[in-house]
Amino acid sequence: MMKLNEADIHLLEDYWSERLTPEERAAVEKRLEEDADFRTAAAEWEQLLAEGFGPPAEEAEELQEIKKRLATYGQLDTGRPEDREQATSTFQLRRIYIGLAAAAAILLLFLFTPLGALFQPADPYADYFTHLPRDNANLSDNTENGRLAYDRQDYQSAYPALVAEVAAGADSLNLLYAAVAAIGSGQPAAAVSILEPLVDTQRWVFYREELQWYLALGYLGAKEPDKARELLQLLADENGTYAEKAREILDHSE
Amino acid sequence: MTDREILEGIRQGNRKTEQYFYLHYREQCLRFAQKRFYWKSDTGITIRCTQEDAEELYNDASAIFIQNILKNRIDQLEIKISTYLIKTMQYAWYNKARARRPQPQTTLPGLPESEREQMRRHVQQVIAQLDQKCREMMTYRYILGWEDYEDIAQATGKNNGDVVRNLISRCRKRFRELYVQATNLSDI
Repeated sequence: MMKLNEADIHLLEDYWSERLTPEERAAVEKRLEEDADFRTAAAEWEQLLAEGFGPPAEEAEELQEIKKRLATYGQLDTGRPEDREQATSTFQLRRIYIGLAAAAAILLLFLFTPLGALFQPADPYADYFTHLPRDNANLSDNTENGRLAYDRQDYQSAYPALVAEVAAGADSLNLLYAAVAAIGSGQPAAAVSILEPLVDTQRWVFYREELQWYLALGYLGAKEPDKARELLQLLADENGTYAEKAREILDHSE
Repeated sequence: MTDREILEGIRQGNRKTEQYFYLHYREQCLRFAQKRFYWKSDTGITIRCTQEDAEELYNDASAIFIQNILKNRIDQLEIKISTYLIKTMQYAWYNKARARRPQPQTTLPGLPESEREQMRRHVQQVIAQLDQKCREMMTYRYILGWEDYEDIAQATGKNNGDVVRNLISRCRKRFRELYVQATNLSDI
């Protein structure tokens, strides 16, 4: 283990995590094959990672005890703590509000929109836009802010508020929701300007699909069909959450 | 109950807080995992996270979270508890998927249980000797298995992944020094 330097360890850990390019991978494998000392040291470090960082017997027992306790809480789920009931009812209340808001929006749409426009929308891709629920929801946060406006799908208010909040140091995940709000409020170019750098950094591993999907919608709204098609093809090929919708748009656009 | 109150309650061994914590985040995390976690097999089949998988991942992540707080391995959280749990679940899911693929051929033959146990004791002993910052970094990187330095940076309030990468490198060096000392001592 001591024969490895830090650069070796970085390289090996990237190799085991399958994060190397085929060329880098081949180089590591060649070195492992040819350099016996390196091979032994690498195997020792790998073994330590695989077996040494697990809990020792007493800690494993403690962990089992904790899991047993958690299982009893799960069984008591019908008699939830007061706070949870409150949180659940807040969540349900929010869903009702959102449902009512959606119903009101549909009613207004029928009252003020000519029927022709309803059945022949100007933007054929508008149908593909859906609200993206936030993952950083905090039920105890009741102060009025961009996040609450976003939850209400008041995108016109949510977009500038969320951008300002991120600039002031709030959770940067809100940038994604700001972009969704920009699309929802008819500002696709603004969404593109937010999402393009986020997609390019490739740091947002867990939200990559959402970023690509909403950027594709942004491109469509901003009349940049080639860029949209490229992303949609990627989403369709990866066969994830948005694959079906991406394929539908690609089929329409052909 | 705020995230800070939950952390403090668990640290003090308050069972009601523990119960609140476990039930409060459960549905949200299970929904997220079932919706977003999937991987592709070698034959190209998409394997999605089932309700059962999600429950197992959530139970493991919650139990490890509690244990790491009780062991002072996590001092404070700079991200929401739900984000922490989801990320821990996601890394466990990736590792599960990775374990099903053919592994690189560097592994030494399996150790007998007694030696494995001794190795774990040495590792825990050395981690306990590290300063708080390094203990936290080694916990995220190697006990929880978080691979993305940006994720660790967010969770620990560091500026960016490069800062974490350098910090982990220093901590790992120190860890290796202490580990060799500990194993040598045990041989005497």
